[in-house]
Amino acid sequence: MPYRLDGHSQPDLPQSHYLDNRIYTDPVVFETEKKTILTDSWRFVCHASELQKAFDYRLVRVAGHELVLIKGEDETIRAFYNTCAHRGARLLRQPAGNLEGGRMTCFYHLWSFDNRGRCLTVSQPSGYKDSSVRRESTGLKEVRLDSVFDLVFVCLDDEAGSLRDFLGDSLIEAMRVPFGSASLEVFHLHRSEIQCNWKLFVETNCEGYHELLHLLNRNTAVSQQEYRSRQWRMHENGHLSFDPAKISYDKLDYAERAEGLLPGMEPNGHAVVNLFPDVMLNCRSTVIRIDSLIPVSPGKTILECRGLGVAGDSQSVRDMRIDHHNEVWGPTGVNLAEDIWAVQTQMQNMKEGSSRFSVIAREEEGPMSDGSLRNFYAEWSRITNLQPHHVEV
Amino acid sequence: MTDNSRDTLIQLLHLSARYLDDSNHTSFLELFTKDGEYLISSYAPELADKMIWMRRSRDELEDRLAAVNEHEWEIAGIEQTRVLSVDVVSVTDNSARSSSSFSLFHTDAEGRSELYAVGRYEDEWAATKSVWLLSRREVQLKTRLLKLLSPLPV
Ligand code: FES
Ligand SMILES: [Fe+2]
Repeated sequence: MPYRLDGHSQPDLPQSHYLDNRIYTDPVVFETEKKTILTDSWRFVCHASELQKAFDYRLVRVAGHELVLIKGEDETIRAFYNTCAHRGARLLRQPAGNLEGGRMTCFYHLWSFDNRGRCLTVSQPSGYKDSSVRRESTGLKEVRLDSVFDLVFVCLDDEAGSLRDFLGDSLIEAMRVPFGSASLEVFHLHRSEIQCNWKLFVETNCEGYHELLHLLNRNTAVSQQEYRSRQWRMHENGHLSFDPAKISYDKLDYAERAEGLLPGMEPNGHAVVNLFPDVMLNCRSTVIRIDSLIPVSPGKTILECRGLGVAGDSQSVRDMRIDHHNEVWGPTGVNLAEDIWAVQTQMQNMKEGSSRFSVIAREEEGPMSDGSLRNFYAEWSRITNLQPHHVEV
Repeated sequence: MTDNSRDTLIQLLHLSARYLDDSNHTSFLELFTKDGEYLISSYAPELADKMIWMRRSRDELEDRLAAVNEHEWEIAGIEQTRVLSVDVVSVTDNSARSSSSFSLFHTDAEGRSELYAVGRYEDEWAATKSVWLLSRREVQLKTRLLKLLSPLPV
C-alpha cells in the first residue's frame, strides 16, 4: 500500500498547501522569475553607509545585471548599468572604490563619464561629425533607486510603482525599530555560494518550524512560553514581519544581550522582517543581520549577509556587536551553517526528482504556522502567473 | 628560551595543523595559554575594511568545540588536510611570533578532495617554564567565498 504522503505522489491537500518541487529546478520557471519578480520588484542592494563619501561607488548585481551605485557630491546615490554607452565594455572593475575627480573612464576606447552618468569626453570626436553621436546626448543608462531607513533599493522596471508603495505603510512601521531609530553602519559583509534555488533560502528565513533544527533556537526560543504566542504578520505585497520576542540566551549559557542595545530594542529582544521577495532583516538586541539573495541559476544562489551596528560606536561596543553577530550568524556562527546545509540537501534531492512535492500545510496560531510560506507563494504566483502546486513542463 | 626555540615552534605549528586535521580538539586547545585568544579574520573589499569572523577566548573556543555533536554542521564530518609553510619565526626572550601560509583541503565521504581555503596563521607565542604556548592565533582567510561555513577553527 503506497503512503499518502511520500514526497513523490501529489499530496491530498488543498493546492495552496503543497508545492511542486519543480518550481525550484525548472529552468523555464527560473527564467520567468528573472523577467518578473527579480526585475519588477524593488530589490535591496546595499545600506547607505557603504557609500560614505562623495564619489564612493559600489558594484551590485540585480537579476543578472551588474549595476554601479555612485554617491554624488550632492549626497544622492544614483544607480547605472555598469556598461559603457559606446560598445558595452565593463566600466568599473573593482567591487568598490572612489571615483577620482568624480569621473570614470572606460578602459576600452577611453570615453569618460561623470558621477551622474553624463558623458564628458568622446575620444577622437571628429570621427562622428557626420553622425548623430554627440557627447551632450550620450550617457549611462540610469536605474531607479530609492531608500527607506538608509536601506537602498533599485528597480529595473521604469513602470513599477514607488518603493514606499511597494513596502507599504504597515511594513515600514514594523521596520522602524531599529532601522528608523538610529544611524546604522555596516561592519560585516560576506557572501556564500549556495547550491540551492533562491526560494529555498527565502523559506528558511521565513518559517518558524525549522527553528527545531537549530540548537540555539530550540533552547533559547522554542522552549519558552512567550515564544508560542509569536505570530507572523502578513503585510501588503508579500512582505512579512515576525512579532518581537525575548530570547533566553541563559538557557544555553550564552551571554545576555542587555547592554549596548540598539535604540528601541528590548534586552534580549528579537525582531524579524522579511521583504518580498528575498530579503531578511533580523535584529537580536545589539546587532542586525541583513540577508539578501542573488539568484544565479535554478540551482545556484549567492547569499549576501551584512552585519550592522550604530555609526560612531565606541571600539568596545563595536567589538561586542561583532561578537554577538558572529556567535549566531556570519561564516562562523552556529546557525547559518545549519540553514545552508538544510537547503542544499533539499536541492540535491529535488534536482534529481527524488523529492517531487513539499508540504506547507501547518495551520496554527503561533510561530510554526506555514501561513508565512503560503503568503509568499500567493504573491509569487500573482506576479509570475505560475502555479506553485503544479509546474507545466 | 633555548637556542632550539625556532625548531620547537615550527614543530608546534605543524602539530597545531595536525590536531585540527585529526579533530583532536583537546590537544589543539592545550597549545594555548589560559588566556589565549583565537580569531578568524578576512577582508571585505566592498567595505574596504578587515572583518573579524570569530574572536573567542580559549574557554569560549572549548565551549564551541564541546557542542559540536549537538549541532548540525556539515563541516564537522569532513576530512581535513592542512598543508603548512612556516614563513617567519622571530623569537625574543619569552615571546615569539610566527607567520605561516596554509592551504586547507577537504575530502568528502566519497573520497573527493578539493581546496577549501587558503590563508595565513599569524601567531603570538609565550614561553612559560620550558613550554611555548599560543597566546593568540589569528587566522587570516584569503578565501572568502567558503563552500561550507565553519563554526569550527580553521
Ligand atoms: S566600449 Fe567604452 S569607450 Fe568603447
Ligand atoms: Fe535558520
